[in-house]
Amino acid sequence: MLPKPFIKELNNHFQSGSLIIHPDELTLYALDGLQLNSAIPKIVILPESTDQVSQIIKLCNKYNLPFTARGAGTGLSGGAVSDGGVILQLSRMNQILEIDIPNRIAVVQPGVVNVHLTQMVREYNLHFAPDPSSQIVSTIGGNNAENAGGPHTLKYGVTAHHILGQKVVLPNGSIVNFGDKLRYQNGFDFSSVFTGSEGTLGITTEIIVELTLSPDTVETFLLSFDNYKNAADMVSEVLETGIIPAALEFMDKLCIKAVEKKMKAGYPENSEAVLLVELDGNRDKVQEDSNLLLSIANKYISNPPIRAENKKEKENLWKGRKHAAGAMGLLAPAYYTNDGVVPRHCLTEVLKGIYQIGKNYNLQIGNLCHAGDGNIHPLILYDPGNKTQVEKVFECSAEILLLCLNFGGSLTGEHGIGAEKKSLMPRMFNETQLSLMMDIKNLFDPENLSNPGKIFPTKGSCGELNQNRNNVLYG
Amino acid sequence: MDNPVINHHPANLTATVSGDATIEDIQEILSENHQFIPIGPFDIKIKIREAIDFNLLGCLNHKFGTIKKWLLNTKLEMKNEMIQTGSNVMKNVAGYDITGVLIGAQGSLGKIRTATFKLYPYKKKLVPFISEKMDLKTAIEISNNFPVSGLQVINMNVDCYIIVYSDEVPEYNFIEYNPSKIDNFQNDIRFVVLPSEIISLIEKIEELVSSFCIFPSMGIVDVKLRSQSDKGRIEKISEQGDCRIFNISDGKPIPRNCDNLEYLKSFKKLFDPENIFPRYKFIQ
Repeated sequence: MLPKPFIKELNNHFQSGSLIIHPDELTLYALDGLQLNSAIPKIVILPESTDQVSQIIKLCNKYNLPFTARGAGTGLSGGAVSDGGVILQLSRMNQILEIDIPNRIAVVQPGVVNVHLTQMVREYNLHFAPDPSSQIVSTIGGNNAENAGGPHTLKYGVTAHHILGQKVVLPNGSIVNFGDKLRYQNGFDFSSVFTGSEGTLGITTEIIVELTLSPDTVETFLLSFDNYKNAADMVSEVLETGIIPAALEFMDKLCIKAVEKKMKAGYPENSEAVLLVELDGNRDKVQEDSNLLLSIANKYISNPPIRAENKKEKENLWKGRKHAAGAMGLLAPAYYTNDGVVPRHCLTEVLKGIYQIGKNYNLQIGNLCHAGDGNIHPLILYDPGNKTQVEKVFECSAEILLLCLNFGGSLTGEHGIGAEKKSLMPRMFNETQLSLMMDIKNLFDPENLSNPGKIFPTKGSCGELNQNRNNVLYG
Repeated sequence: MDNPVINHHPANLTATVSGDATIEDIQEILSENHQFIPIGPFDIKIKIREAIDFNLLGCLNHKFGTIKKWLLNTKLEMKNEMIQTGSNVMKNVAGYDITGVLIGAQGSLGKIRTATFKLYPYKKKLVPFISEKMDLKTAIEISNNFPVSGLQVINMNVDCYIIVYSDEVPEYNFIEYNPSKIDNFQNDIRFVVLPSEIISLIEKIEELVSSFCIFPSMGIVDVKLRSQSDKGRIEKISEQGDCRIFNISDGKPIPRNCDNLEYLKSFKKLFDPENIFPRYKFIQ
């Protein structure tokens, strides 16, 4: 139960339409994109300004209530879920506050949907470069909290590379600015620490982002292979040869099957794997790189390359990629999205290992990868009604991530640690590293109120997640 | 001394380099595989650690951005121990970004022993070119729409020149040149403004400066003062609008009100409780 004085004070500051406390409505906030983890908050509040966020956080401090910021709820690591705390749903803070075309800067509230910003500046030949697959719904606040990537990260970098500064409400309710519109800083770059901190250090309420010039020319190719190893090997050769594609995406046979079942994107169903390659830049450079790419491809591909001849064909090829994960729903009742990173030259070995792990657990795995970045997304198919299989999914996913660590990789490239992977953190970081990160958390959030239970391992964290998982699947 | 390049994976486009190595030595080794760290160019004596500590930049930032985009991981010496601050892969969002916070921290959080960078492949090596003489406005206009790798505007005796690092001869009558003459410029103050404000800034300060060097896409204007006694006037000018200034000699920002000062101090203490490493100048 929430303290009555807390409710009373909230009612003094907020209209009833800004507060959600009915149990049925609260269940809508029990999940994010990680379907295997659920928890019910005690209240959801919809603030409209930085000051309101600050007021709420000060009240949370007064009544010792944990709080969690939430955007579109598309995160895949359980980061936007609160077990018995306060959720600040930021969807009403969805204004683009400023667009400065000459300086290629925009100032946005956290609830602005990623693709909306690009739509607003497209006529000026600019775009917001981070493009997670969820970009048509995910918010820039969420992208900032998770340091989101996307297919075009290979050339354009992750969200952190496009953020100049942010206004943050710290866990004590004070409002601070980290960074500003100026492009050069010298000093402790706290904005870097806050981007990707998964809402554990406070809540960002304004973000200053850099806009990117759109390229003159874009060429999109679909290359197909009769062996996944050929596709993965080609990735290394392309990069080593001196081509940096805008995107270099890998999909295996199971993904191709799902995509073609769902939308007929034109992916050759007789292939074991495809690479979706995009080259962009000025016309001459793209032409030169295209010729080089195709000459490399000739050594590896099994079917003639498909080149998108027009915008529609390009969109169709990308539609296949962007909806590949969702299409998995046609092959199984549910799927679990893993997110690990490995050195790019190890991709072939890692994929081999993943298929073996799938066999060992008797689980079907489709592999989607931002191959150019070494960022893998094995999609593990399962039946939520099969309790034994669900248990195996978690174990299988953990084993894949440990495989990534064995190759010198990371537990997550763009989805975050959240509640999902916190128990694996000691496998990637030693005690000193973890202590330092926890000290940073403690510096900004000594009361541990800002999105607690995320990133850092807690006693029995596996057990907690299992319990939450059962709520969803069998409750 | 360690080898300048400790580990180089050409197929992964990454290299781990010694913090003590000069960028010149590192680039030389990486060039054997037609790869480089796309930062600089800097003075040949600059060590990679110094480039990170002071967030140094050269004209390659025009296309490639700052060090933040290329640094993946460091081995950081703290009191009695070394820690890895990140991971040697292209993307890593596990935990907090400690690597990023070291950039520009002036070595105050620890000593960078090794650094792992993303590399950039090239088919033809970038070489310096210099433009014909032009006025400042033209130079800025051209630089805004210039599809090259690196670019910097230099003023020498009233006339402006554009310096470009490119793999082909650029338009606008550029010729190859030896950059040493330019690199020896000793500037006093760095202004950081919005790129659109560069010309207006120079109009305000031109009578106080003898030369300047501009990184247009970053909004950076480095200036040499005619007289050190004009520093006060320069500081006054910098208080108007969005503007930040640094002393170039030590990277020390000119003090301003800072609402985050307590956090800066406490943050340093987390890394260096006994104050072994140099103090961050801003919080002295």
